[in-house]
Amino acid sequence: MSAILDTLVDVVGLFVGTPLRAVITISALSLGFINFIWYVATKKQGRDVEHHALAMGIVLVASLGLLFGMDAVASASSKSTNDNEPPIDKVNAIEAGLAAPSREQKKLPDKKTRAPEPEQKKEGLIKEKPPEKKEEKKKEEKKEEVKRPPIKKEADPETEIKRRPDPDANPDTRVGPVVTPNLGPPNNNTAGNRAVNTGDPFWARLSTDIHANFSYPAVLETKKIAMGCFYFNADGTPAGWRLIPRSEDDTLDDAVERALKSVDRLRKSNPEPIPNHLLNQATTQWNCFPLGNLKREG
Amino acid sequence: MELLPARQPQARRLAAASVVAVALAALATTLAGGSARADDPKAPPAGSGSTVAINMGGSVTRTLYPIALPQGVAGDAKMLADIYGIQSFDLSVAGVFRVVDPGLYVADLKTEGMGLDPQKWKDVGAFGVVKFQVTGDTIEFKLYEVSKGNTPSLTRSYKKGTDTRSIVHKWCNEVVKFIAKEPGFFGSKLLFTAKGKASSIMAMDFDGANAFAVSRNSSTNMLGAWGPGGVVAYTSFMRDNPDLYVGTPGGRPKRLSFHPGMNTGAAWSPSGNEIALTLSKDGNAEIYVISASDGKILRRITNNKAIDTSPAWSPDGSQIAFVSDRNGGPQIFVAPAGGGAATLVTTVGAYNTTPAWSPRAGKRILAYTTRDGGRYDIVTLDLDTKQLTRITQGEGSNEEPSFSPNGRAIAFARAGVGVFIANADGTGKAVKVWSGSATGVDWGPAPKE
Repeated sequence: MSAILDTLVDVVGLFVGTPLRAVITISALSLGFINFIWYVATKKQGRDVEHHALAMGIVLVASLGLLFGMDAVASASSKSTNDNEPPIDKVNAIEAGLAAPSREQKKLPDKKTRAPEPEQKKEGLIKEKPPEKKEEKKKEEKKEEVKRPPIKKEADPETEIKRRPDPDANPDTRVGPVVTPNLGPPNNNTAGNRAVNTGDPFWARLSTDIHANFSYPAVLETKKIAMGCFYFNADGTPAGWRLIPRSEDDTLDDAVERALKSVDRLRKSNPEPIPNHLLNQATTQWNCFPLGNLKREG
Repeated sequence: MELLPARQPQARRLAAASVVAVALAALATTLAGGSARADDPKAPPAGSGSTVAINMGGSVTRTLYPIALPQGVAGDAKMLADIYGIQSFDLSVAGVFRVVDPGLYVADLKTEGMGLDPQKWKDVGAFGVVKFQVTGDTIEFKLYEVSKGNTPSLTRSYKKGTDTRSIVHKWCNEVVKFIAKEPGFFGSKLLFTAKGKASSIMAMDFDGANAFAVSRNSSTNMLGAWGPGGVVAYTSFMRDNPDLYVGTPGGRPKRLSFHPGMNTGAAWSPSGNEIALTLSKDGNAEIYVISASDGKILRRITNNKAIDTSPAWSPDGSQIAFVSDRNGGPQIFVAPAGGGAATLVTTVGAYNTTPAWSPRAGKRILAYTTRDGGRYDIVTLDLDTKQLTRITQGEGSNEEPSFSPNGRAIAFARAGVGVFIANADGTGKAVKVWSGSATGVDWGPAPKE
């Protein structure tokens, strides 16, 4: 049944598939019809009708020839195009946005899902235990591991210390306004602006870690500033942290201390090597980051 | 060492502040003190030349205030459980706090009693802790700020009475006032239209307790609105026409506006002297302002061929928001309350209705119902910053929002489910306070202190 339908569709397409085909078909039918009328009228008068029959035949042949000819040309051209195409498995998918105005309506924002709030880990529990016991515990754990099948534990974002990814590394995860890099030396400053504008990546990452672990209730306000400071061992582990000075706003100082503690833990477990040119500064001086001056929100 | 340009306002503030901070650091170097965590003798002295201030900017995470609410310390078990439940509910919907999961507590509550070991609560991320006990005929509450040690920041004692609920609401208002420096809404009431065989106007505490019928007739009643002194205005078909009635809950209502056609959607002016409403006395629905005392028409706010409904007064009384289909679909417009040209304020979505103004001082925020796909959701729109915030998403059809008296929460009706309240900043999940088919929610004024 579907084959018959397909054939029917093809036949109809042959005659009226395109505007040009439709014009040819209609013209042929009109000419044929006129000749047919003429043929009938002439025959009634008893005159010679051979030339009318010939004309009808020519119209039929010419129109069919045109229609089939167009079909043949079209399929030949299509075939020649296909011959030049690369095999399908070598197609590269290219995703590019068109610079055309969006016709979509403005969309509603999604409901806020606050970033998981930092959970404080229980401090001092590991330190309080003597090292021998730690080793014993490790042994016990190893024994247990042998007994039990391994359980895949999913990382709990609430209990993990946050380390912010480099926001500029991936444009999809970038937050805040897009900042155009300051290209070239303006104002005849042939040295460029790197020293002023970008700073050292080591300090930038430490600052990012501190900010990522510093949270302050939106309902509180403080005009004060606390300076959270670190100095380091040569291997990049923190040798100490403190507030120099404290802000004298207890809640702010407490929040900064919590952040410093978290970063201390993070950097002890995953130290970042100190670049040679910062070794002296990082290991002999307190390196301080200002936090505070926060307005009430909402 | 100024290394990065400030990227955000917060960062700009920090940048400016860093100058002060550097000065403070220099001052501190003259003191050999500071909060030494590193007691290592090898640690650099906090003295001159040994501190470097590094300002890299960076944004700060602003969170809800983490508060721990442990069980009561001593007293009658049932009463302690009641207080615990009411307090936990109140503070969790206040729009200010995040209640710390009790499963994380590491403190020994028995040993601590009404006291506090701050470090134990810091370890679970709490900034505040509330302790309470019932002794004799007294209920005692203590609020600790863990950063301030084991001295309570706020202590209150209440005489035990028959209404434990209102005592706890009072305490929770004190906690909000202490932390957020603004009044709480605990003890306030909600008005709504309950759909049954006939629709009736009902009132209840904001948490769903003590529900009672305001309209006492078998006709259709709808669109209730709290007025000054606990007076309620609502539309009723008691006399076959949708007329506006005003009265105290339970009392005999007075028919205030009874023009032919609609007398609906009453909204009290902040002064309580005027009521904005929709009248269709001339055949088309228009917004009018009438006198709250005698119902006399004072002025007409809209005048066009479109349908204009759902007026809402701004908290300062200078503007009226309303819904109009003059541009095609229903959208929200704002017009001067004294009359004048209306301005379209909603630009997102083809269907926006039932506006409500936030009472927060210094802000111009509207909450309204918007159609998103096949559902209706509540959103807020800051008229100054144009920021849209979703209050509901993907959970039923939500309609007719109303702000709490302090603007921290929003009540609304979820079709066929009930009345809900949610944080007005779009965080958290909405909480159901009344089950049933309801519409037309209106949040009443703050309780008297």
